[in-house]
Amino acid sequence: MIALSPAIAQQAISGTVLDGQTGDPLPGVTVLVKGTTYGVYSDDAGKYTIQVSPSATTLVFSFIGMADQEVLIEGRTQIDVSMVSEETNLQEVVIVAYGTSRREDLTGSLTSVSGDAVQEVPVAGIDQVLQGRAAGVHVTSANGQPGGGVSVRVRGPSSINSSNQPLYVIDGVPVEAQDLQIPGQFGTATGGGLGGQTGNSLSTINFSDVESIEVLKDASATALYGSRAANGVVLVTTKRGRFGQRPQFDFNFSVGQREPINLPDMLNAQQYQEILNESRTNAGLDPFDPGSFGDEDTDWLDAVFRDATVQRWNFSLRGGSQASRYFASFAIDDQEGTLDGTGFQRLSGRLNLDSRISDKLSFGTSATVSLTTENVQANDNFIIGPYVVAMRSRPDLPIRQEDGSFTPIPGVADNPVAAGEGYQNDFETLRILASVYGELEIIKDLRLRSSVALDLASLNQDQVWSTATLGGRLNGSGYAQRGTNEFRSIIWENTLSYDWEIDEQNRLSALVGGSFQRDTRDNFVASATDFPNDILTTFASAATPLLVGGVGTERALISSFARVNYNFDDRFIVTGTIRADGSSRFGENNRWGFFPSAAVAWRLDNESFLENSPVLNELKLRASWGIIGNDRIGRNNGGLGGNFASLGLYGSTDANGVAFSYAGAGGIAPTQIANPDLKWETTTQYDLGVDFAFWNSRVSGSIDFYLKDTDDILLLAPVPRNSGFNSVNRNIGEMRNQGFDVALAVDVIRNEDFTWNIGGNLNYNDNEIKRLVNGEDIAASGFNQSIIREGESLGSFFGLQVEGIFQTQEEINTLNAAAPGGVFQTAGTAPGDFRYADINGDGVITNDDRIILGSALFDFMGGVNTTLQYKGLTLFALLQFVQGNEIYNFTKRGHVFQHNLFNSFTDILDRWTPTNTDTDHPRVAWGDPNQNRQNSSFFVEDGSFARLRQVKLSYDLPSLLFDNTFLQRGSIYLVGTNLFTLTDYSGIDPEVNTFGGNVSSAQGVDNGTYPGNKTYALGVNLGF
Amino acid sequence: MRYSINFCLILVLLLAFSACETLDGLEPQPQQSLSAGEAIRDANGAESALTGTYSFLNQDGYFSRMFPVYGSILSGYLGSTTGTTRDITFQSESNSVRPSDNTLANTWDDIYEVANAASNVIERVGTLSDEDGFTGTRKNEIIAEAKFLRAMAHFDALRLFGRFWDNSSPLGVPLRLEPGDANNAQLARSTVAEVYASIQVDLDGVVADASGFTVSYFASQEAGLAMKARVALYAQEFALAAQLADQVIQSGVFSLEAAYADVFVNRLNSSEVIFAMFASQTEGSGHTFFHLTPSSELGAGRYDYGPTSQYTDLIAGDPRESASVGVTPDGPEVRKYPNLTAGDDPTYVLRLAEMYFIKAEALARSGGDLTEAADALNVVRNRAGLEAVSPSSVEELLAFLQEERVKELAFEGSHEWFDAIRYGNVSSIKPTVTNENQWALPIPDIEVDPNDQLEQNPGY
Repeated sequence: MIALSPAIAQQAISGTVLDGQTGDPLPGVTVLVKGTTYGVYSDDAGKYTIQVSPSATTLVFSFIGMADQEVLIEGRTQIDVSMVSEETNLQEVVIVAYGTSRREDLTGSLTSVSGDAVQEVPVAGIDQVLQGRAAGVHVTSANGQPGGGVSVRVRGPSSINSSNQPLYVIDGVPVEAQDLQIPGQFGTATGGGLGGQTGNSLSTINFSDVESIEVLKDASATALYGSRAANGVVLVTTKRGRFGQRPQFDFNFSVGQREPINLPDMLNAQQYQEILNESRTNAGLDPFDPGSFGDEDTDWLDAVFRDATVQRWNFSLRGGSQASRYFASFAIDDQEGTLDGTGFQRLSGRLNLDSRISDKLSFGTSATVSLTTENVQANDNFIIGPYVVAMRSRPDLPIRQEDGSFTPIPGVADNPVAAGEGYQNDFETLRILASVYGELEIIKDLRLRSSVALDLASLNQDQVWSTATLGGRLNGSGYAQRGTNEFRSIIWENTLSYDWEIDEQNRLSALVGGSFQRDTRDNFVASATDFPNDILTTFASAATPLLVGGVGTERALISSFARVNYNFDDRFIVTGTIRADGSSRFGENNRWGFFPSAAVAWRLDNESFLENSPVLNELKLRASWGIIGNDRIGRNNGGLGGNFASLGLYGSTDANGVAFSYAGAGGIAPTQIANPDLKWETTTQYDLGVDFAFWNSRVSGSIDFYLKDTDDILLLAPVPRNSGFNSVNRNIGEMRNQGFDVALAVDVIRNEDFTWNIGGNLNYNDNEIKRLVNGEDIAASGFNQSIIREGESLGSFFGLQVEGIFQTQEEINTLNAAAPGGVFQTAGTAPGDFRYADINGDGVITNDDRIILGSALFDFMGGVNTTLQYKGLTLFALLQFVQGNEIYNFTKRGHVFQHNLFNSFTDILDRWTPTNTDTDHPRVAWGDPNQNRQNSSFFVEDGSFARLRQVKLSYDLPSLLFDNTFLQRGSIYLVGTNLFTLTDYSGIDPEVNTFGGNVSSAQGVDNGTYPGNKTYALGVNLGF
Repeated sequence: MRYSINFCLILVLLLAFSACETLDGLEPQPQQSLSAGEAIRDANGAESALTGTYSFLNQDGYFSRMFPVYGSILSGYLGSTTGTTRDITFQSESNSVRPSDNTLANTWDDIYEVANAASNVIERVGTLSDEDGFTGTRKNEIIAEAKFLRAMAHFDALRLFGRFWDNSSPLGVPLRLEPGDANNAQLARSTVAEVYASIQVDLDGVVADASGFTVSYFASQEAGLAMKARVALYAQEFALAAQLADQVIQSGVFSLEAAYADVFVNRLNSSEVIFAMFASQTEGSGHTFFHLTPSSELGAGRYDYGPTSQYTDLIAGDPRESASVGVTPDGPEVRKYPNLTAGDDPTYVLRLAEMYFIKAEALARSGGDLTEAADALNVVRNRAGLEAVSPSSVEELLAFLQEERVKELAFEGSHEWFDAIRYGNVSSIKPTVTNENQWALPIPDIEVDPNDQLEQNPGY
């Protein structure tokens, strides 16, 4: 063994160091005399001998991955020690921005989720596993597409047009979490020709590799990420080996089945015929001839949905020698979607290495490579996908005609089965996320760390519409679109940190650092038509090329940052941080943004008056303030624009893609007005919190009150047109989020054989738009169902108020007589139609009578989880809830009026008729003469729900089973997700987001959204 | 890759906490667009930017569709039909145009896009030297063409939205003489005299530097002279107008088609077209589709407006009738834009016939020789196949002229409307015009609302 420095021996102490978890000897442990640099390592048998001077009082045992231990010598010559892994002490050390912190030293607000909690959940992405687990973090899957887009909001949305998704930092590397899908020919800026569906580049990461997730919420915790911190920061830490740990191999396999949470109930053929003809008669038209109806009774939804299977294999290996440690994993995920033709597959591998070259110098790497394939179908605000056309298709027709061909369905783009079978859209993404670091301890406790990281995501899209589909017939014979989107980010970061124990009472730690990041993105897309048949669809077979397009973009970010943390007597803790970000996205007059934060904490439990409290274990008050930014400014344009929002630009086409050509020559012209003042959106956040633990820490938790004031929100401000432009991006808007987070954990029973704990979290958030351009409303994207208005919350729904249903013609006549033009609503209004509220009292129903009808944003949301453990048997359940939000049920608009040939939901059976007058559903009338389908309160429904997100029963197999085998441990489990939902929402699934997570102003809209799913899976874990 | 390691970067990487004021080495440039500073750096960039300026002529609010029809509808020669879809048609028909109208907003927008793009070319090409890849005098020619487009845009804005008939009025239009940006957009209206002066300065530049005529769809020295003649007529500088019009006529570059109808057959190649907006199948204009009726034998159009009896009565029996108007089961239709399938009907901006009219009118109004004036008018009449007239007074000549201009130039450039204002008889031609305030269209809200400096026209 190497002595760290020559010791002048006066007394020898020896002993054995053991791994507290396994009882094995632990080699390579550093044994130091406290206050000196004298030290030795333990040998292969865990034994050590150290010479100490008589004045020495304490030995310090330290080992990477294990908690340091200080042992008083007290005259002994034999000292044996058991080291305890830091992982078993996860509550004690948490990951923070650019480092770790003792939990007691935290001054900011963050939520930790242990990787164990999320290991075996049958979802695709890291973001999804946070659902219901972290206070103040709202996670919504946009739809049931496996691997599809997920919206994550930390303490409410703070931007209107820019991104509201948090920054993800994986093993210290800020990663790309945007949708990488390519804008398609059908459906422009919102995803690969998929209506509102978006991709999720985080689903490329295998979450079984995750050791812990920390969600940083207040400005003190996030401000070290400066201009990217305003939406919160999610730190993901992956698993690493342990020095001196013998190899440990783990294998997990699970298989399960998945079904839609819910599907709409459609009319059967007889009901359809009856109601359709009633609708004709009500509109004064002849009923359809009975001979024009078919004799089938087809369940179209049944024909396009299926019970899907989900499989997963995960292998991992971790261990280490004295000088190096490793974690390696390989996983295969194969998830079918419940809609035919949808699915998600992922192959992923990881290798994390750390190596100590000397006691001063170490280096390591974190690397993962994955290949994911997402098979999608057109849905969501897209009227030719199989789900939407299945709802529309009339039930009296068969799937196939007698000759075997698909039955054409009148009024519908495609036969639903043909729409699904004839369409293929695969997104294949190769993701490489790799970083290398080196760390040098220059002098004691002064560490220099340098890391270089590469984040590469290369997406290939392959989209083919066969001649059996409308998409394949629009341009010619068949249609194929293929494209690539290549994202590369290179990040170089350097930090210098110093931990200074000034004396017994005063501790100071400081960090300074710098970072340089460059991102580039290149896109290429091409399409062609006129293929010889539906099998030969390579471009080489295409007779007619259509479009060829491609754009690229890049950006650079250069930053300096610093943090100081001062601890007085473990009673008062002060943290200050600052970051300066220089970004190429900002205008030249605002190139650099400065983002400071400050926080204080007071540990009352260490005050003399509480120190010996028999009840209280922890009581800490925290207060923080900080300024953070959102640099994802400018309209994203499918992930390609937005980097140059400040520049005056010349382009070769106008905003609609029309070339600036004249007399056969291409030209260029001014397309974007310069705003050299353009900058980030600025959020000032205040947080007041308390952390507490009582009764032997059986009850613990925290409460935080926060106020987030965002200003400089980027909006399009009109400019006088004499400039040749119509608007300019300006930092004008203001928005406020305020609320509180509560997290609570209770150990109800804590015995050796039996434990029961309950955890919960709750968030209340109130959002208000404080300032818009000249106070004017902005129409949100979609169907004019949402509006952005000062004084209201983002995501407000807008339309007429339904006051009731006209019961008699006299009511209508009276209103018409009083109306200035003789018509109160429409000329076709009849008993059974909606009666709208004349808000402005002018005697006529017009657009001026529209009011705010609700908001997509919740009041309260949270989760409750419980774990019951008896010996080897563990039951876990997680319930998530959202309360106080509304949903705009646009899907209903097409299926409860029978205004055309589309089939209807069975809700229509309760329609108004002269004999069924006590109902909310209007009469059916072909052509909808009263415009009952216009945006109104009828479509705005309470979207509150509580959902049993996960139930898991697992059993640790008794160890005697493994005697005389190479196996050392094993468990089996049953897991179910989304088993049960409590809601008043009449639609298919209250967890819905037709426009995906990127369109914050039009959240909570349901328009033909692919329903979510329930999954049941059986799994086994084996280890040796 | 436009990176270089600079001092600031090195400081950061050495962990020095530094407040770098600039990011000199760190400026990625957009790939699908060019920053304004990069766009016009040499002859290629200058040519592209000039092409882009021309391309703005072919927009719905300007020459692709709306500009030639505003005046036709305002003066009552064109009117709404069963196919009318745009509210602007009804508003123009009743001479009650609203500042909130979207089509009107587009027109303002499109005209000022031309002016702004032209000013960008003029300013940025002006900073280049002949050595930046220009051959011969091409650099100055490019600037001259841009000046032609800017002068034309300002003149058209003045004629639609300003009190162009009153040289002493403060209510001209804003002059977009420098590249537009967020800081110089708060632009007040220049006076009518200032607008005329600015247009004439630009056109002097065209006459001095532009190349001689080669094709009708690019601005030339002759187009500059012709436009200058028209502007002088409007500005009531009659002697100058007569002299300039005569200069164009005498240049020998242009000659009247033997048959009136051949203008609309030969189109861009017509020997009498001095300047026109280019149109082809791929860069089509919107004229034909909106003029033709659904039942037209030339193809089914949308028939957004059609000739009124005020026009069909006037043109009835004139030899130009069949080339100007056709009768279909849906009603009469304009026939000056007959190529529906090709969509390649240009917008005729300046024709030689108009130069004869200008010469005649300007001579008459400046006390020139009445016979010489009548001779100029009779050149056009004779070509049309009509007898010569010999008016005995200036008033009689002007009456002949005004009618002749409608018959010859209707639906080509709103001449009918501007003439009626200039001749002072707009109310008798169009009874719904009861007030001088209706002579100028309102400036659209999209300009007035965000512009604190700009005064709306009276009456709106």
